[in-house]
Amino acid sequence: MMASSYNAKEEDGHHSGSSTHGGTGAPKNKKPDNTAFKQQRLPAWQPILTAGTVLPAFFIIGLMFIPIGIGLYVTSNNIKEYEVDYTGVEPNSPCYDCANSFTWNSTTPCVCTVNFTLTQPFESNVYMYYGLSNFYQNHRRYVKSRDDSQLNGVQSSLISPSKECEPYRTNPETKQPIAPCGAIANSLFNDTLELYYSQPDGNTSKVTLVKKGIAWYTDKHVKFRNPGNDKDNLTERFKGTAKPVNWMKPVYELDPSDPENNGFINEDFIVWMRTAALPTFRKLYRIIQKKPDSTPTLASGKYFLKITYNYPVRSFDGRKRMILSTISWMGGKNPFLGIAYITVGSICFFLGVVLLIIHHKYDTRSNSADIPN
Amino acid sequence: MSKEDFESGLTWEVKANSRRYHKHKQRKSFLCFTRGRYSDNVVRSHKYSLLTFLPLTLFEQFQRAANVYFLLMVVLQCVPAISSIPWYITIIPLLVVLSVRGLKDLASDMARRRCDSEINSRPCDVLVSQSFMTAQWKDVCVGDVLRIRRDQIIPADLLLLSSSEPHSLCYVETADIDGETNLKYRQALDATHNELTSHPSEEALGAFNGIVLCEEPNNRLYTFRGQLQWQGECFLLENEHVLLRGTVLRNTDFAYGLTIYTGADTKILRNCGKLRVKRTQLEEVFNKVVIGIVLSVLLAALLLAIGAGVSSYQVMTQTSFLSALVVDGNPAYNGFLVYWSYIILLSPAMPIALYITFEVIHTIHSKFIGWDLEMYWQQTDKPAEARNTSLSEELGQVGYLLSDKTGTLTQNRLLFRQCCVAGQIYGDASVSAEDVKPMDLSWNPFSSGGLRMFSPTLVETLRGQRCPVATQFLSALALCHTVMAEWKEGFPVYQAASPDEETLVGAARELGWVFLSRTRDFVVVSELGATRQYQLLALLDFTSKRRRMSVLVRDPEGGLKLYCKGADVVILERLQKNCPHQESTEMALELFAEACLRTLCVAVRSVPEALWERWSKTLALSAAMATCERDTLLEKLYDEMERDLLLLGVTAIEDRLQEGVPETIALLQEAGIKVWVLTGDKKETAVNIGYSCKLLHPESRLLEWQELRQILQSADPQVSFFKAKQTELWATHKEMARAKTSVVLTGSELAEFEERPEWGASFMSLAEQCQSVLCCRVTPAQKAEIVKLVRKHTASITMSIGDGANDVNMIKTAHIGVGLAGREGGQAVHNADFAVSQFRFLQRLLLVHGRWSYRRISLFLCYFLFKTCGFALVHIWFGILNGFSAQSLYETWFIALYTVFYTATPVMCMAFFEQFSTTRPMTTRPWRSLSRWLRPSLLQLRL
Repeated sequence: MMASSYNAKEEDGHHSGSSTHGGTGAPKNKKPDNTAFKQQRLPAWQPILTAGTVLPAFFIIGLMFIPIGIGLYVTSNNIKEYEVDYTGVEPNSPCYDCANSFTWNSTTPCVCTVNFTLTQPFESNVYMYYGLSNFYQNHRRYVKSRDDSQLNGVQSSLISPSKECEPYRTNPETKQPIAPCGAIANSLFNDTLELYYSQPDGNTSKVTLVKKGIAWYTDKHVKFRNPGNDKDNLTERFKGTAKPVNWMKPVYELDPSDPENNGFINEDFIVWMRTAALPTFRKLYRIIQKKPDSTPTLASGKYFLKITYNYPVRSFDGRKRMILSTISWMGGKNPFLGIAYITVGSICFFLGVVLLIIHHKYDTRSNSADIPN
Repeated sequence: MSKEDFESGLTWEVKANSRRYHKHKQRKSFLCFTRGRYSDNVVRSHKYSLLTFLPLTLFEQFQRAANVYFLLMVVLQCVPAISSIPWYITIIPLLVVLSVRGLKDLASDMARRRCDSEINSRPCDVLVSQSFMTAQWKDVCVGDVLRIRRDQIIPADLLLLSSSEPHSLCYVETADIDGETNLKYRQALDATHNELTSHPSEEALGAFNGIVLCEEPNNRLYTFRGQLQWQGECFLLENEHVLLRGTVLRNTDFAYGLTIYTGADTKILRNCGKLRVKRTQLEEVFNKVVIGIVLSVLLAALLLAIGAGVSSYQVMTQTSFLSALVVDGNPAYNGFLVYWSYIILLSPAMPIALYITFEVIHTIHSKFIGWDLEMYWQQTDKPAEARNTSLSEELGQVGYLLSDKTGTLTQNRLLFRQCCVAGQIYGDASVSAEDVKPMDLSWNPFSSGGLRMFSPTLVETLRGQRCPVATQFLSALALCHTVMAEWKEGFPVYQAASPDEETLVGAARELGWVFLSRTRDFVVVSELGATRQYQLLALLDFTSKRRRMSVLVRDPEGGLKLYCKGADVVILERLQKNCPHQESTEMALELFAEACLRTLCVAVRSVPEALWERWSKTLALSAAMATCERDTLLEKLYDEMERDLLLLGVTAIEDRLQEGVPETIALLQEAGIKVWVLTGDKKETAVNIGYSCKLLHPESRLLEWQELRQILQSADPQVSFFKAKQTELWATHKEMARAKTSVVLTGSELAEFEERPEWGASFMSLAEQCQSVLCCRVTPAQKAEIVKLVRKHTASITMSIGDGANDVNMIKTAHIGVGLAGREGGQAVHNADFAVSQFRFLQRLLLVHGRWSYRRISLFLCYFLFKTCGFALVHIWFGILNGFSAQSLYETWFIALYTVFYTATPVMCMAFFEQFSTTRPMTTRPWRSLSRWLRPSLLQLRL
């Protein structure tokens, strides 16, 4: 090979007569190989921008992008979304009292109710989210403040959680290890939201909220596991641990209604533990299942949201929201993509028209393939 | 060792046939301690051993700032309080880079090791107790007597004791040392020749017990000083008694030699210095960019840390879920920690893999140069060669091309076209060489054709012996040279170090003065059929400083003659007063120069016996002196001898332009490259060559020294330069006038220049506006001075091209040195960064490979910096959104594999294959300024 012989020559340089004088072999022809690679003649493509290629390109891009954009925009618009801010900042808002009278050690929960009206019926499955603003779930110290092996049910980590959890590692009074440890778990969102529909006939009916299936499958079944033996009682398995400081109930009593949804595999907990990337975020709270008959999942009309107000956000100027949304094949409501496509497509089309006019008016050459140097 | 020996510098002692004595003193080394004097004959060009590889390679690689920077990052990451990404994330790219580089070094080291062991195990015959045994090279020891056979490579530096040829002559080929393929002779001392040439010689050689005292090992290939003490006598030793390692024995059946220097002490190994590392400008720009990146990373980290301090202060004052996480409840301390965390997090902005990728790309580009068929020269089977693999992109930025003339612009295939003997001009140069009628030389049995001169009158004059000057002239041509004659099929074949000599001796042969053979003391010449033997008394060498050579001979009649040939200036100033024909000869010189012929003056002197005796005694004295003293003395001695010369005549040799030279020069000038020609020729010759190779435009005005000097002396050189042009070219357009002025300088004028360094800048600014600059009569040192001048006063890249040993200086001085693999040995090529076979290949080298390479590498650097900075800058943006907490946006493994794995290929492919446009428009229609297209990318880089 050419390459190897070249290399050897490079390497031994000018040393001590290492060339093969007096050798018997016929002198090798040093003529380089005439291959496409060595002669740098590999097939290449060099776009030459002429009116003949640029104009159609602009028009094609324009004509392709505008319909795509319109399609995306329409799809996004068909998604119904309704948002209620129940932080209680304004004095006239229903939750103002709850927000202001909040104390950590109050035993009686503060309940407030927010009324709202859906002007359009929500079809298909409706997803209920809670949203927080100005909440830095992406702060490095916060993100680090968890023990994944504890959450995976490792017994030793349950007893002595990772140092990353400091200062939420052990209970300062009892010196018991906290389960689940760390700042993320400690700040678990614990408002309870209930949705009521006030029927036209004056009755109110509670909307059924499904709390299963809101966490990722892998999180629920792989990443998060309860410690100890499955046969034992959950209380037994978490024996010797303390609840997080801000929690009212221990981890094994998170969901009194469903014993399978307790401990580390509680889905609300799992959703919370997957930290958000931006300070304003929403997290899935409940799913409202589609009704078997053709009636809409949420009919248009008056609703009221009953909030058990446990979660303080006023101290850091946070906001709390409840969002109802349907989804489509492209996910939640997101008009940006459609608008972007429409904008780019329109600009291209417009430029195409402008360039076409310029080309027609000012091109005096018979052959437009040349570009002036 | 006596004190006397120390004073004369002869401290290296070698005792013949006493292996034990030398073995005892052999150099042993353990780690860095060495003991003993004599090194063994083992070549160790490898750097690493099993033990030292790891420490050495790490030491070498951590001299790169980038590697150290990343090591620091790894250390920082081990501090838990600040580690924003796990420690193994930075160490992976670092390890990849270190191991790739280490493996590359290891592979080349293994290749060297293999090569070494192949050399070390070559066989040679060593005399052991009166019989020759085959041993390996590595077993040869100082003091051994060796037998070298025909075509064997000589394993160590030997003192030639005797050989199978008469007078113990032997011939060596030094191609591996200086690239010259002609044979050189070496001869043993008379004493050793007489005593040791017997059959069988083993016994005599085994009993040889001389002691050699010589210089310490050094790297001077062409000098050797020492003495042999043997049988109570002391003989002086010179270079001609020594066979150097690496040379090949030719035309000699056997030679016997005493080993003087072995292994690392040999002259050639002392000579192979380390390769100079030239750094390209782009690399320097890039280093600045890296420093800039580091600084901006530090600055960004500082700003973000301030942000972190402020935000943690806010968090602390609120009762928030985060407030307990502020370390120690101290926002300033928190900010301090975040500062270091951000330095770690932003470290991917530092392009760690760039150096190694850069190297790979350079290597590939250099290979492309070597693989190019259009730069392959069929006649000598030589492709272009990039000897320095890290300069390829500089080729695209060349602003000044400084070229040698002889052998570079011209073919250096010399033809004897004309001569002037006793004021009479013979031959006609106006007829082109192919059209010359062959003369009838059938009377001369040695004639083999090839003389391109038609001048029956000269032949008649010579055959009739009518003109003693003419016969002397031809005798001088046949005697005054260093050519070797090799007999092949009854004809002498001449082997000369310089093509001029070969041509002159060949021409003399055609005209009946046939150089037959040379021994150490005699030169045999057949003059019109009569064989005459001249005793060679002294040979006064040619050097580029002396610019002449002479031989002192005793002719068969007993007269002492000094024949001298050399450059016209040198010879003319050494003539005796009122020398006949001087004026007519000077006119002939001018005529020849106008016809672009190369001239040499030939002169003779009859030396009185008394002068010779005195002179030879002084010469003998000088042999024992230290080198530097001796050189000055020799110069004085030679000068004394070469005086009162009688001018015989002038030879005129045609050196034709290489194919494609005018087109190439025109094209390079069109591409905005300034072409300067530096030559040792006369001004007239140089100017004529300049016109014929389109360096000078027929209408262009030549600005000569007088005028230039006035301009330079004036208060405002620019204005007076402009005036000077307008007075002559008032009718033409200003811009046109600007392009059509050329400066012509000579060596002596340049010397004046060096005394006035303040002129340099204004001269360069004038030269920039001229079409070209022509410097004639310059010495090799001046050539380098000119390159330095250009380098000092312009920011452009300079490129020197040359083919001979006299261009080595300039090739080494310029940013890029190109060696033309021509007929004048390999010195230029050995010192050059690129080697090509034809001047016109520069077109392709500069305008295609250089341009491509520059563009590719510029793009590559921008792309690379873009991808690394882009990757890291995301974190600054994200910092604003996460409370300046140094949280990484990416999954950690993604950070580790991003530069070295995920994004390595596209940028490399682009750097290998990107073609700005096809080759055709570049060589047929280069843009007026290459830089116009390339500057944007560089600017972008600087930003």
